[in-house]
Amino acid sequence: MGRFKNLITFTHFLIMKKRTVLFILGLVLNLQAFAQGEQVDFMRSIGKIYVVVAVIIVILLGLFYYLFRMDKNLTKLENQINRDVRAKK
Amino acid sequence: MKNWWWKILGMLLLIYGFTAGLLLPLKTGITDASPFTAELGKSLELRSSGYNTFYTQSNAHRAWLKLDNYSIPAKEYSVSSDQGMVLYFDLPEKLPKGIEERNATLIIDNEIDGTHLLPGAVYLNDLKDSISSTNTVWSENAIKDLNKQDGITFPYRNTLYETIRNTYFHVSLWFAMIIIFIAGMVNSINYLRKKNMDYDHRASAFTSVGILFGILGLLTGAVWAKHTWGAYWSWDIKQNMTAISLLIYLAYFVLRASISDVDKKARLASVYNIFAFTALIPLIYVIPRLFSSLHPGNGGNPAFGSQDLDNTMRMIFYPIIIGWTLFGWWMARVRTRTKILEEKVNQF
Repeated sequence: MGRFKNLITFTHFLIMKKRTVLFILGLVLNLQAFAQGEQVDFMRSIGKIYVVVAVIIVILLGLFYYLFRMDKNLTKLENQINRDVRAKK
Repeated sequence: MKNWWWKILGMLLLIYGFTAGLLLPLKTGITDASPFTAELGKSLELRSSGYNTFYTQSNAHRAWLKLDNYSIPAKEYSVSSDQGMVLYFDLPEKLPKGIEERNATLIIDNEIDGTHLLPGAVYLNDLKDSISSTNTVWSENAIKDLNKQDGITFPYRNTLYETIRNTYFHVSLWFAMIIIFIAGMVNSINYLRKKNMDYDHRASAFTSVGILFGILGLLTGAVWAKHTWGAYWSWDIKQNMTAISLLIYLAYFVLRASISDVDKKARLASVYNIFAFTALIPLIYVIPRLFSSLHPGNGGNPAFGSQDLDNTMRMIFYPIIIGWTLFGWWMARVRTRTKILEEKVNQF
């Protein structure tokens, strides 16, 4: 349990700091905004390969979000079981 | 190990799909040629930029400007780099007989890069001062003995370029989503037949994974669309219809959350899930094909042309669909087990 404490704190951070997470997501998706001064649009450089990168990042973020939610449900369940066991003793 | 084989298979298929999907190169192509317009009856100096080409490694190049069946070969060429070539044409005085089309296709051919072309590369204007400085003529069916590029490659398409790889990360997610939704619906039917709560847990888990895949499909599609169609959301018929069908599916969870009686909740949710799936099929497979759409496969066409999905891409596309499906199945199983455990704990 102790080993996963950090992960759970991190999950809580992500869930509590929704704004920060959304901001980071926005940065990832809007990388082209930073490259406006350059001659070639960043997202359209090298045959638009960074669009593929952005798509894969979006998928990973979605899967992480789902995993975090399942983790939260399980933690709740674990706590409930622990409480029940203690109450029985 | 006995119950693990399909999870491992799913992971291996995904690893294969990601690796091959990202590492195989695109075919050669021409990204652009300048100038865009030329005057008939004059000499033309055309600068073309190749994609994935190795012009300096090839000894002899051939190039044509082509209108329908008619073409004129390049008079000479000079290779400036692996990607850069300047081509010199003497344009005939008039368009070929009976041809109205003015957008000429540029074709370049050599033994290393194979044949690659740019459709509509040059727009041919009429001769202005009626003094022609050339004496070439269009020749019919003159493009012969074309070379083929070696190696395993993905199709090259203008404006898509490398994003054709998103077929494995965007399109395959939708295919997997449909399979996951079917699994959810089958479990709903089974619940109605057998009244076993496990089926209801399974149905809700599969549906939630399906919705996750659907939302990811919408988001990845939006990112892809921004850089190929120009906007995250273009109110394309397929985009709208998938958004509607996902909203219908989201209402499944609203319905579940609003009923406290367990049996009633399971029964209503199962019926609703069957309705949602039957609404999904016409919304994303039938209606978008009847209207014009930015997506491939509209106006009654098959979903993919031979250039959108060739046989090389199929070798990665179908495995990665199975990979995503097994991955989603796994997530749904973990969620089902949590739900069943939750139920057991609450019973004590």
